[in-house]
Amino acid sequence: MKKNIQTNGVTSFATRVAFALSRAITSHARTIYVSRYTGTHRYARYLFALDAFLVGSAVTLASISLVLLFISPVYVDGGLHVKIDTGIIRGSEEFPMTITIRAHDSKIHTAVSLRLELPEWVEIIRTDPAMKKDGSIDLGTITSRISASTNIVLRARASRIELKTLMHVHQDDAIGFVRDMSMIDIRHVGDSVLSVTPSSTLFTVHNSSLSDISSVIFRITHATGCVATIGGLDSYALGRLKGGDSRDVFVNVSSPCEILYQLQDGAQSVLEGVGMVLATDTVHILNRFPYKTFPVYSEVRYFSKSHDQIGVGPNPAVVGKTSTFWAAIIVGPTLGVMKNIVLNAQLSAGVRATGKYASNIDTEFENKQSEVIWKIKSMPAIDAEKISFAFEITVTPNRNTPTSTSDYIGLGYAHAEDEYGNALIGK
Amino acid sequence: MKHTFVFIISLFFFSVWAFPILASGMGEGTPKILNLYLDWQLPDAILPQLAKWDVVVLDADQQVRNPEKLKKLRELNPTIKLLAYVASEEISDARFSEPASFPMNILARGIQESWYAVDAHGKQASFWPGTKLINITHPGWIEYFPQFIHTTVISSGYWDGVFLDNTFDGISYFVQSPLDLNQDGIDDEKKIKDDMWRTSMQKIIRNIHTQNPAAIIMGNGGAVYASDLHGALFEKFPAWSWGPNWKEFRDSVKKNLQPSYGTINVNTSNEDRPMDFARMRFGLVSALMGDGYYSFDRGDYYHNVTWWYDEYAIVLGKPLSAPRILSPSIWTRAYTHGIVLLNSADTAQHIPLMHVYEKIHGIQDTFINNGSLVDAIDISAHDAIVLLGKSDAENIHDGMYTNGSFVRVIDGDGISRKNGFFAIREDIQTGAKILVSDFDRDGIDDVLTAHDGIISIFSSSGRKTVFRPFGPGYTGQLSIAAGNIDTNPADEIIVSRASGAPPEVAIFSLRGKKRASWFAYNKKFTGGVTVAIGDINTDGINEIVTGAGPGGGPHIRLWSPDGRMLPTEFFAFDASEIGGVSVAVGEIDSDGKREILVGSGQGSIPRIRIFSGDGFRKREIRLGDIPLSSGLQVSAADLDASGKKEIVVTGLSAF
Repeated sequence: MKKNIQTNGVTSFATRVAFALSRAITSHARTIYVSRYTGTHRYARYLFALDAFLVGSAVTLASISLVLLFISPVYVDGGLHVKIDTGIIRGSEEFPMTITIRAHDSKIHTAVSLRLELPEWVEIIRTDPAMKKDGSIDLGTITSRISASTNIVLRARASRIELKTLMHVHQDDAIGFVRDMSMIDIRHVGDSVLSVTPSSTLFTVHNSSLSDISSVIFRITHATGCVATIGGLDSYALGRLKGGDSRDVFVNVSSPCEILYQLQDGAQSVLEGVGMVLATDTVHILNRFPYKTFPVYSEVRYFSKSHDQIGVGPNPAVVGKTSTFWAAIIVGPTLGVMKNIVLNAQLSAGVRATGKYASNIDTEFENKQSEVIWKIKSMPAIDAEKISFAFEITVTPNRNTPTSTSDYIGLGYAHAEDEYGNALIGK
Repeated sequence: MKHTFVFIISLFFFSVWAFPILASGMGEGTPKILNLYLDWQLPDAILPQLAKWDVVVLDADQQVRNPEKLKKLRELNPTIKLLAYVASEEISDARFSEPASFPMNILARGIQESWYAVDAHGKQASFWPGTKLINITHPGWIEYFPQFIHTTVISSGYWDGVFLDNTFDGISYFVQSPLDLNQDGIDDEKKIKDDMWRTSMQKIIRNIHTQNPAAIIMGNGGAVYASDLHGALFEKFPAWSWGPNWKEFRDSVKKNLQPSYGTINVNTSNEDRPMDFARMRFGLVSALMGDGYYSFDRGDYYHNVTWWYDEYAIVLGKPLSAPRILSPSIWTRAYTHGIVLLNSADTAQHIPLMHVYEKIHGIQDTFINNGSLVDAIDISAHDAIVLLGKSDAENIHDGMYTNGSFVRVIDGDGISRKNGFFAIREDIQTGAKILVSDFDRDGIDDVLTAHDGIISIFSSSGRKTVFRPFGPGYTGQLSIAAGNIDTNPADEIIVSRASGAPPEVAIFSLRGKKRASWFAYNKKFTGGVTVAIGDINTDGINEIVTGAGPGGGPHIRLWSPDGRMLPTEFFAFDASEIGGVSVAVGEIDSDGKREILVGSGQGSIPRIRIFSGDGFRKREIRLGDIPLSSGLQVSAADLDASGKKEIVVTGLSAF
């Protein structure tokens, strides 16, 4: 007896809609099965099932490969896999890059080292393992069981362009044959973390990232219907802008007008904008310093900015041994002459100043073992650069010694006077 | 054919190991090196490479095959010693087929049949394949051979001496077959053979020396003839245990006729292994500690390579002491500019050092020679290392720098071969300009400082001279240089106001007396000027170089010492760069002429440009990508006493 099957109603309709695609696919499959397999093959059902399984597997593998390609590019060359992981890259912000290398063959790859060629607007902040003077990073021996990683912190000073990294991998294989391979990685760099908020008399520059940006410059590129300067110049170097910090730039105008401006991270422009300046803040302009502070910070180095080794001993410092580093209090840029500058740095546990100091202007240096004091009678305006007051330290770590090199010293206090005798605080 | 094939392959693979410069000797204080180059072919391309060695041993036939090339070697390296290679106890069959003009064919044709070494049955003996052993004990040979050396080899005028191969201390070890040296029909006993051989060899060597008293006579075969030779080659060193073999070499050098050319030869066992750096270093340091020469090549079948190493060009200076032992297996020796260490043990050793040293900035074994600063070192088994002293302000001679500044040292190729360092003199205030040189030519350095418009000269004799070159009203920056402008051997001081003032150049005596002055540009220009001095056109008279200060373009002028402007003037950078420039003069490359160095000015991308004396730009060295507010200050100074100057740069911060 034929059953009376209900084909109307919401449930029935919804079911038909939900399974429409799968029903379409299976219907097509049935069509193929009927037309090409039945009547032509002895075990048509089993043969069709096998073919369907093979097609499905191929599609699945291809899909996985495509996903991996876009998520985490994997480069294969010379028996080695090179995998690069970065976070989201934003202009002017520090970002981590982890490069992992492992072998995909059964060979022992010895003396593997990595060298990066980066665009000029990308700065290497630090690497682990440490980068050698020739720019290479030693990764040692790599096999299919032993991989090596290097963690690099970079900063891209641009925004909205591509970061093209050329990597060179050098290796010796088990019989001493040397290979050098090169590969390219391309990443997208997003908007800069620097922003500018104009108001009627000033422009507030803000660093929304967590890390400091070392060389921020505000530049007036055009003024419509007026003369606009920053203390008589068309640009002002804010210098180092700390993470999360904001600084004001006061613009002097001959009359209310619109100005076009550009914000630079070093030599690279990261944003352009327009703002209306209604008046000049005469108090700040007459005093030369836009505010009552001058930029100052401390730094500790084992390698100079130019990758010369200036430290000696284990780096990082290890318990039981003494390492030497060079530390510095760095001032600038400043818009005007400063007088009677006093800079104090505090040394952490296990850190001592050796008494060696270096500066290319006339200074007095006082070594009090756990702190050092610099006294400078006069310092000229330093427009875009900084002056460093460097001193040598030894680090013999104990349990209270900070693990991070940058914490070996800290800024105690810094004060000075501008050329009019107004007090300035270093920060 | 085989030699030709091997040579072509060697030249192809190992030409990369040669420095791309013409050589004029490697300078005083570098390791003393000897090259045994016995290949019969001497292509032109190999000559600049061979000229880098202190001593080159060539086959004697080269005096006829390639006499003009022997002259060329001397042109390339006027201090080179060329020694003619002659086997002392055998003759190669190939020599008989050579042209009659060839010295070795002359030698071969002069050998009497009775002079050959045979056994009691007349069977010819041989030490090396393709050669016939000579009975050197025969009176005829004892007379003939030295005479040949004198009349045919030394008297040709092409050679500084002769290298006698196979100067064995006895024959029985090297030739196992029986020998009848006294030709009595009975094979000689071992001791008799060896005694006769030794006595005869000594006679031969002495005869050669008597007939050629000015010639260098080297042997190959150990220390037994040390006091009769100017040195022996200790081939395949160490022949047995390192300690005793090295001691034998060292003692041998002390006994040699002086100057000694005793040489340690290490090879790679006839295998193509120029990258066996540990083996090379081990032998080199052994030679250094033994006050000897060093030879490193492929092996006794292939004395025909020009393998060059980073260590060969290092200026270590003079030894400060005898070699000493630090531990049972670690030896060391200190030099004026560094130290060497050697590990003779079968295991690696860790060695704490008394001072901080700098590893060589090498381009070959960069794992070892990575330029790092070290206060302790790990040396692998049977390895050695050459370390340089860490640079400091005391090393900067004849070049101005600012006290307390971070200094970078760059060679003429733009390569940094030493770590940058803080140049600090604690006896002088920071920020002062310093120039150290022997201004008064008494053999001891004097010190000049410039600060706040004041020049102070501290002579080694204790005299102090202080003066204000531009009067009490000027307390700004000065640019200074020192050089001789008259017949009095003492230097004069050339000084200018570096910025914020008219571009006046003034010359003062060491006592502060003004000798001359003029304006390098219009008096109304207040950017100042920088100065340098040097004999740029090699006419024996120093010229003064000026560079415009901030506000002017990067303009360079040359002046005679009396203030006459010379024809050469040019813009060192684009004329739109108005941040001023700094100038220096020095011989940076090896062309024998001084170059003009110009550092970029305020607000420019930091670069150094090197110009020839006629203003032709030879090279640019770029030191960064971000404009430098303070500009670069350049000078030329010899930091390693090599005789060649390096570029000393300040203005770049370490932080």
